[in-house]
Amino acid sequence: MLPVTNVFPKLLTDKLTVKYGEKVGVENISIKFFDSKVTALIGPSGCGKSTYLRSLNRMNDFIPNVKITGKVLFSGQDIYDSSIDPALLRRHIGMVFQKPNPFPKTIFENIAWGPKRAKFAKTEIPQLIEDSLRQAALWDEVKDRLHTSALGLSGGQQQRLCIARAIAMRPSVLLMDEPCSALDPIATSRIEDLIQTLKEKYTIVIVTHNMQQAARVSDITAFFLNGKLVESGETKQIFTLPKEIETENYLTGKFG
Amino acid sequence: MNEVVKHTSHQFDEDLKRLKDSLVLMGGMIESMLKDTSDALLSHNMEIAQSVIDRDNELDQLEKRVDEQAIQVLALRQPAAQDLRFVTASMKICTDLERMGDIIVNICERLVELSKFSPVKSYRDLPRMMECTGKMITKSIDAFVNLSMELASEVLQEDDEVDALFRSIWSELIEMMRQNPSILEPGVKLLFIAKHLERLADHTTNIAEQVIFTVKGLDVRHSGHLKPTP
Repeated sequence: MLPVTNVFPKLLTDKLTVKYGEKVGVENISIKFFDSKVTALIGPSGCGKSTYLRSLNRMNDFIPNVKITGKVLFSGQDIYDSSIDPALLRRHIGMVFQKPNPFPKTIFENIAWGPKRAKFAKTEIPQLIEDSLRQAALWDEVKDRLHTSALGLSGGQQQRLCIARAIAMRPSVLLMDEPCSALDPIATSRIEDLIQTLKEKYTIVIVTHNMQQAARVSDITAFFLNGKLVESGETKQIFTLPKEIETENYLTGKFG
Repeated sequence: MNEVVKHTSHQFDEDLKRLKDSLVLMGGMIESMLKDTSDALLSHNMEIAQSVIDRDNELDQLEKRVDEQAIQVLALRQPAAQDLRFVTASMKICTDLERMGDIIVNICERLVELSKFSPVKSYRDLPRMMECTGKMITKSIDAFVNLSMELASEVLQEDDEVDALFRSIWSELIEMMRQNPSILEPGVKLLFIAKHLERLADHTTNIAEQVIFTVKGLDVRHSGHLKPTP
């Protein structure tokens, strides 16, 4: 049982199924995501966890033949309702990708790009950039070089810049798709620390192949296998005493 | 560890097997040390008792080996779920086994000291207590090897019998010493032996509790669970 069922979830899916043509990506997934909680989605390659994550802010809309059934409710609103503007939705539900993908622009412009297009007040933008970089634990490292190319940053710094870029849009949910898989252990530790700080303000959903990372950073863990949710629960319980044998076998490395 | 499904990493299976084998070796040594102690008690052969005392060092070295193997698995494999419970339980069981070795040594030391006195009484209850404790040791090791909840629960229940035997020996010896204070010194040594045996049985229950934790994730320590209500 989830620890905070009496609280209204920030985001939830109800019997969500995603198909690519006839091929099922994920099937019948119901999970609730709560404020100030980190939820980790784990499972072997091809289990559907990234498909599921991308359906949470309609990133799958870019894939042809994708068919969604079931519901994704964000603050109680169905995000697949025809009245919803996906671009606007993604301001509220930001995403950080596997590989750091800064724009070939300055650090400042990387972060200002979204807020400018979202018509944030110009006078507000410098402060917004500082706040975002501070929240992403990058400010002290880049404050003297804001107008140099973001491509000159290290991989770990670039990933924190991407997190700052997502935060600048003032989202309430952050989706992270294997955010540390391209980073070294030190940069990974910094991002993991950052996740712990960020969760105070955001609902975080992270897909990771690194099970120890899921154990370290998340409050809730959901285990996916073959497009289905096998079980979800408090991370401590999942990693010490999973209920399902499939979860046990995956966590103890008994697949294959 | 799931006995049917093996780890994808063959080496991980090997690491866990090595850990288990070391503990089984420790358990086997304890069984044989207690059996020899029983022989020494019944035959009054202090050479056997001394040979038990001499074996303790080997057990101490095994304790260090188990700890090293367990730490290596934790550091290199980051075990989860039942594997994690198995490794942490192994470290605790190994501490219990090492302590059991020390206790058996204490019993043998008391036997050597007792050999300088005239027998206080015919030994009947002590061999019985040793037999019960020996069976509990064997059963607790078997429970660990087979990850058997059934055997572990039996060990927890059998502890009551050893406790009852201890109380009976205690009352009998106290009464004897009261009536004949000249046997005070050997009498106290016999009491010590009985107490040591009672402690040995307690350690087997610790092992059984760790088996239950490994299999089911249940922490039954200090709870009286899985024991019959008195």
